[in-house]
Amino acid sequence: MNCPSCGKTLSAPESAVGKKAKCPACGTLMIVPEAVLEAEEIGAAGEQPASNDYNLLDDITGAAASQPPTSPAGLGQEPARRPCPECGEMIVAGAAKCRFCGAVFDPRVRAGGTTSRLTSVPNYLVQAILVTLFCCLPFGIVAIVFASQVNARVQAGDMRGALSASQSAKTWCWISFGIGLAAIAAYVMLPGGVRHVRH
Amino acid sequence: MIWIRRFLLGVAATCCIALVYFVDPATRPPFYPPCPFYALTGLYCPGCGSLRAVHEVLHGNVGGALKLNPLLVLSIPLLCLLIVFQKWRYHPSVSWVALFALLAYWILRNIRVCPFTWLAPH
Repeated sequence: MNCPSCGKTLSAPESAVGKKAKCPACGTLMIVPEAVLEAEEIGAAGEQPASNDYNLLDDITGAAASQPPTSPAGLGQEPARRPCPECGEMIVAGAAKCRFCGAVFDPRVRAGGTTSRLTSVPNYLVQAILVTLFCCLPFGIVAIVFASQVNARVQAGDMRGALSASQSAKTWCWISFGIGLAAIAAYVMLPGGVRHVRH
Repeated sequence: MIWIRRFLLGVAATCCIALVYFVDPATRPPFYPPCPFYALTGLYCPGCGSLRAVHEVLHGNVGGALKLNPLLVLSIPLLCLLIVFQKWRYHPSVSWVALFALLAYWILRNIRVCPFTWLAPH
């Protein structure tokens, strides 16, 4: 496995799977994932192209449509499911990638390198800073707090928590942006009374 | 899908930058709406002066922009770095530094005593 923070290749005994461990190179806390050997067995179908990273995340709240059933026998019925070895959410058994935490099981996708778990939970930090600076309201600060939580939870290996914080960060960015737009709209509608106040 | 969204975002950003470039926010009566926080409370928010500062930066006057909103001017290169280097966005200290810098800036620029008045638009 690779350290989620510094990318150093590490090895751990079988008994350590699922437990917390510290990277000897950078000190980052992580949860030891299941062995790649097992991942090869379950992830062999690997229909999900690696470039679909963001589409998958967009479908987090949606139906299971983002993970097509991989066996022909599964068509027309509920596809077989299994808990994700990383975050424990139920996912399609043949999935190459967990749609909740973004963990990649398909060794080919993994070997592609760019699809790391770190980048698959967006934290909306840049958007949060931008709405704070340009919408002039305290809600952008809330979004930055949630962005910080995403980072902290990714570091701790808590993918489910990171995802929920990510959703909150996104929501607060939009709230801030929406209220900013509403303020502009209100200003345009209002008569000239408040127009002497400068931005 | 992601590319269509990025394209639309790029178009919108370009339009906004062009608007701020051509329409001076410092004219009176102002063309742009006031900061809602300033209009309501009379206090500066971390973004007050940012439109004027961006206008000055776009016209090459970084010194003038620093007088209007120094944090915004400093954050432009930093945000570009964050956009380019994804990994930095996920470093825990980056988000905490951003949070505390913004909160401290918000408070300090409202103190009407000499060194802090440099943080407010002047």
